[in-house]
Amino acid sequence: MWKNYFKIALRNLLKHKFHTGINLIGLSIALGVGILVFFFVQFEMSFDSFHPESDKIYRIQSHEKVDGEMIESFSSPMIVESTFREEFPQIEKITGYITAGVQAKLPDESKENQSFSLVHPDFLEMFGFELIQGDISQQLRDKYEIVITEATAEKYFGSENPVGKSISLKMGEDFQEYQVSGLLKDIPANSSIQFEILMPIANMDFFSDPEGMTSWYSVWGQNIAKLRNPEDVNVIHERMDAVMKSALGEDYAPGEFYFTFHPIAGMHFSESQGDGGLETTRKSLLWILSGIAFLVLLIACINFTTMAIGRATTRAKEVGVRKTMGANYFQLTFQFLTEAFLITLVSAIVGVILAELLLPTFNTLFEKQLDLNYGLAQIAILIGLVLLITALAGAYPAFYLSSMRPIRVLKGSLSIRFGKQNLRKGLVGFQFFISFLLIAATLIMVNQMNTIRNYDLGFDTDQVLVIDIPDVPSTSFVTSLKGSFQQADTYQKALAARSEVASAGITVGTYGDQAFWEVAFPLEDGTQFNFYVNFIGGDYLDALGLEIVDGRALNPQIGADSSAFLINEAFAEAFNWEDPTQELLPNTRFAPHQIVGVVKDFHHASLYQPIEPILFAKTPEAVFSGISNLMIRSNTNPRVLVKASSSDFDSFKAALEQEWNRVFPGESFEFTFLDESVESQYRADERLGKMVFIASCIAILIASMGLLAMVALSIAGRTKEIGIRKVLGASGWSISWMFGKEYLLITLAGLLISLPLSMYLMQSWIAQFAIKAWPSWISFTLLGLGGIGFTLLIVYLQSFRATQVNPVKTLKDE
Amino acid sequence: MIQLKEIDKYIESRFQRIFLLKGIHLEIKEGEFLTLMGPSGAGKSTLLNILGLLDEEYEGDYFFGEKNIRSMKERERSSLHKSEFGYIFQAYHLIDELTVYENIETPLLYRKVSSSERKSIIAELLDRFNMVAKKDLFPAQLSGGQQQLVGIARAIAGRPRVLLADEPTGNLHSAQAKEIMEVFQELHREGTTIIQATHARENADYGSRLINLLDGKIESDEKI
Repeated sequence: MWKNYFKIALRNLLKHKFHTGINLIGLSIALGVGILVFFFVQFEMSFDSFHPESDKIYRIQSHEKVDGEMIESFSSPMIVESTFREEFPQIEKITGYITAGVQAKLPDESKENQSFSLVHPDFLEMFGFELIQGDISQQLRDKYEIVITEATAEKYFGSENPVGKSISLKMGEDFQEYQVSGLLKDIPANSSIQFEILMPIANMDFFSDPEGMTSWYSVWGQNIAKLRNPEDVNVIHERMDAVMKSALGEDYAPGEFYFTFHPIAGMHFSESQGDGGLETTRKSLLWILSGIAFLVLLIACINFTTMAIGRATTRAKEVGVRKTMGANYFQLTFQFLTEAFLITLVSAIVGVILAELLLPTFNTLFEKQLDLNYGLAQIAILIGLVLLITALAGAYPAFYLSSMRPIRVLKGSLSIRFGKQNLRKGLVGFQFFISFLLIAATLIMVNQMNTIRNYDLGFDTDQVLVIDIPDVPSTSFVTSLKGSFQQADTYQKALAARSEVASAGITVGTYGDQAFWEVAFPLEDGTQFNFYVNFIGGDYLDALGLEIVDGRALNPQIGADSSAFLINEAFAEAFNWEDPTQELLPNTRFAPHQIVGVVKDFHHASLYQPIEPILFAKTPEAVFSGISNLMIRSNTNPRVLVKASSSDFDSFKAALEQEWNRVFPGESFEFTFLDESVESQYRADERLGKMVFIASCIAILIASMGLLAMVALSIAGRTKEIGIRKVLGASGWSISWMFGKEYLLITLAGLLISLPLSMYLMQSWIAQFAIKAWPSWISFTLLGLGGIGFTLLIVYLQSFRATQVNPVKTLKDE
Repeated sequence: MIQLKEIDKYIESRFQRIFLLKGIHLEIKEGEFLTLMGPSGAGKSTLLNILGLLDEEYEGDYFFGEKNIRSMKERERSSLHKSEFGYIFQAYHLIDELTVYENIETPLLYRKVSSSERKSIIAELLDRFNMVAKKDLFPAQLSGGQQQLVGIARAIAGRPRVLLADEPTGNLHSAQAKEIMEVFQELHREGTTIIQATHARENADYGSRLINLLDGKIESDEKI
């Protein structure tokens, strides 16, 4: 029986190569996409689950009320570690986790930035990172012993055994020797915690004075704890208040400073502001991707269904014969499902190959290193998927065909109507709807991203390089800032003297996510005035092409300008100042200062944000004297902005490098392009746009193949009618139009539902931008006309052939 | 073996009932070779479909042996259908995607006949109809007469007691028709009950009983 089912299924599929081909192509592409998305989602969901007992590991989040506002962050004071270890017996192990970077000497004596993480000795025993050399209980105890990963070992020692060897790191002023005591297997790609070197936390004394490590108000990195029992987290949260009360003493105020525990399982999908720097994935991306994969699969399934019903007339006879020979409903259903299964199975195999071929493109698009590893579970799920699609695509036609009455289809000519017109039209309409939905979304996204890319930010990004100045390590923040600013000044002056350089300026905040520092001071009415601050030097305004609309720029020659400020227009507007250069900041805590000029508004941050008040100053003291709140989201090193004087990039770069080596001997010269950094802010959305674009291409491809087959079938089912109409004098055009009309209506319906819906759905996406750009109604109209034209073209091409056939032929055989 | 009592079959149209069969009384004994004749629309095929359990929408009673078909459960009816009836069609209705061999095999598959038994039954049938050399051909590669032979082989493969044939020679020329009717005659001699519907008077001569239908009623019933 089975053999018979397979045999007839195979022969049927081979006989109708056109339909089989369309189903095969559609399902293969859809399954290929589905497989990729499945592995991607699985990979993303697997993050941080490889640690043994990962459900017991929690990250500690701080909640602190600052100026009436609750600030939440996964950075917490280092004193949390010792306090909580003592106060909460529920905590089995706890470690701080601070990431830092310093210069390291490579074997060839060259220097390179080396990042490392400072942790407590509990770290390795808490997590599932695999120690391949060294005794786990002896690691991270001696201040000058470190644990490195294989990749790091390779970098410093090649293939030699690293254990017992040393790495030279510049801690503070001098280089220190660190002996490798343990070797870790490389960190899995699905780990949120990524590091190259683990270093005992005792080394924090190079970065912080002892008070910094014991203060509740100084934050360096994260704290991560492993509980004895996952349920204990509630006990901890309940006791938190009491613990904080005894820890903070008289600084304690209920609900103003406390900590909560969050399982690391959710870490990869964290959307918390306090998780800056962590490589996370928006969970909505997984939903969008899964949704798209589902829609594409659905379109391919609908193709199968509509074609199978469309061919009902040809299959009906077989059903009748088999029924009279004793086949029952279930046997027939099974037979048709076998056909669906066979084609899905072949498609799955092609899909697996397609997924493998598409993987590199996918990885580039999403900047991932995804591997397709088929384990038992994956194969089982794949088989499940094949069965599901078999059911989804094949069930309805199988039931429909199997329930045909033999007496109707066997008696003489086959007089049943071309099967289930309305249902099929509905399904095709649904395909149109999905396709148009995706196309309209693509149109909206492309339009928005183009607007963003070409938007006049108010400053020049062309031919501007950004060079990070090495920091001057100090345990005092202001000293460090001023020290490195001094260095930047030296370098900037050297550059300004070169003919290759048009202008050079210094800036602390650069262009990336919220790179200017956020500050605030209280106004008289008690509310906070929030604004941004940036410390600048050299020809900052010239290098960026910024305009002064009132007053003058900061002048390095004028000594008093060290307490002078520039503001932007938005700042002046915030206080309704008519003549800003005559005003002072409205808070008496500020040291003597003067506002010397107003800069024309420009987009200092990404276009996700509106233009906000900005204050520019040369030195930090005057600003810091009055502010009550400071939030820094980027690193604090100043950068030098350099604009080239000609388009000869090589000599420009050579000049920069030459001066660099003179001013900073031994430091490596690195730079970025300003326009690239500005554009990189939109990478996530550019990527999403590309993805939706690809998805809509696939959807259109599969849906239009289905349309093609559907039109061909409906014409084949009406050849006799075409013949009669021709005999009665109908022209080829009028017959084509007869078919076109039917599909025109479906297309219109699909369009009319999908366009408003896509606008509705995209609203929340566009809302994130400060600059919003909806495509004009002309674009939407063109899109609609394009869709209609495309449909009619397919119908016309198909029906044209049918109208060319001599009616004598079609009418004779009956 | 078969008894029809007061069989009515009609279609409701908007204004009236159109009777396809009216008041059919018929008794068929095992081993008879019955021919139904009559002009188009007389109700031959309708009656044949009712006899063959392909049509259940009628009024009146139908006894097969001792059992009333109407009071049977769907399952019983379907197994009766499977075990007792074989069907032959005017348009042959072979399955185009199956070879001669596989077409004959299909009813055996639905009857769950074992593989070795299937082989021997089909071999015997192929031999009987001289089609051994053609067993791997597809229907489209055969002449009409040959296709109908396959149709017959397929119909009798399951060893039914009743063979129903609706215009079995309607699409054939006379020489082929003659061959088919001779096969029927032989099957009749072996004891199979055959009921055929036909236009051609000469076909009736191969049978043992002739019923003339007109406008859904039995016009005449005679032994030959």
